[in-house]
Amino acid sequence: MLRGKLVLLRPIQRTDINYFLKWFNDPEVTQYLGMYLPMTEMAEQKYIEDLGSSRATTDAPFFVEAIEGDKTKPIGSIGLHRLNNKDHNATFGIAIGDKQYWSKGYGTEAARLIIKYGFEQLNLHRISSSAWSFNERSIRMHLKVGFKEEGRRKENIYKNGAYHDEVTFGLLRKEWVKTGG
Amino acid sequence: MLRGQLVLLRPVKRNDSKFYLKWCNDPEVIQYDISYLPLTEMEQEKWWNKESTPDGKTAHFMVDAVDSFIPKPIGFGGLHDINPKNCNASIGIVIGEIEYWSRGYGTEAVGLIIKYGFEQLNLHRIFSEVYSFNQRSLGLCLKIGFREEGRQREAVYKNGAYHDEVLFGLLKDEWRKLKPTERDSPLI
Repeated sequence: MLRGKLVLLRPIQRTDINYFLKWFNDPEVTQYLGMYLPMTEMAEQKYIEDLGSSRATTDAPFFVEAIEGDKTKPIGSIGLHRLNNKDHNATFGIAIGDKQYWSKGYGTEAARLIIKYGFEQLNLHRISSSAWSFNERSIRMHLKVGFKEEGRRKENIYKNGAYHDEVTFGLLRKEWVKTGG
Repeated sequence: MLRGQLVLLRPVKRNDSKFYLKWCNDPEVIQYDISYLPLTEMEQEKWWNKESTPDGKTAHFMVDAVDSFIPKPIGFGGLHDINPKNCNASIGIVIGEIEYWSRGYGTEAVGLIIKYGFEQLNLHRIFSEVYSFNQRSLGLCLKIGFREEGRQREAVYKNGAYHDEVLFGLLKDEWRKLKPTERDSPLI
């Protein structure tokens, strides 16, 4: 569990599947993600079970809940993936599936919490990430939390009828320490 | 079952799972433990299923507080890596309910586990590994009679820094020489 002011990050549980199925079948959400095929209940079930076995040591996934008084509300998922214990790096990913919570600081705080966790608890040296060039919200968020743009894979992604660049980001622990997160 | 005044140590049950998920995902609790990734119910279940085929190397207990009307699960602990040839084992305990910290529950539980290890499992030596910033646990080990045997310098990364891992050992003969009050009372 990682607790901030706006969001709580907690482990994923089986009953979260209904939210995943809703969010990851919403074209407005998935246009910003790698996925593009309909997400079936069976595939999502397998993904969730894998988190407890084949992915148990390579992924640090969390469910994002908005804190609303004494209650919390599921709004998305976030994670550090492909944890590499030799090179001490990982890949960051986030999806705020509930669109009402876009552009209100929830994703930014969730990102800050997981970055701190990655550097201070997982002993990471570097966190990598990327966003599609038309996803301005995500690009701004990456820069705000300290990621640096490192490059562009030109026209690497086909979404919404056109090719788009994939903007790649990196954040090193020494840079993060200097800016205080 | 091992019964003291404050705690009862009992076998784990399937529906203890929710307590493990709570405690093992609490950063304040888990900072003192080896684990560091979020524990999902899917992974926890796998671990539980292993309990159905005992490996003979583990004596694991649930710790219930029993000083109030209804027993309340507050943590878990036991002996691990039991080596029957060398007659030694590693002891570990987690009090997951933070409001039960520093009130003698952990001390009594550890005392009960040690007694069980020496008197029932015929152990010769019990050892423990504690992170150097875990003052509460360092104090507990010394209070119980463990001797510091060494330090693995900067062996663990937690909370943004490297910390020493302090090694403690307790031999059956040393333990026998302790006064019964030192061995058994939770209130020392």
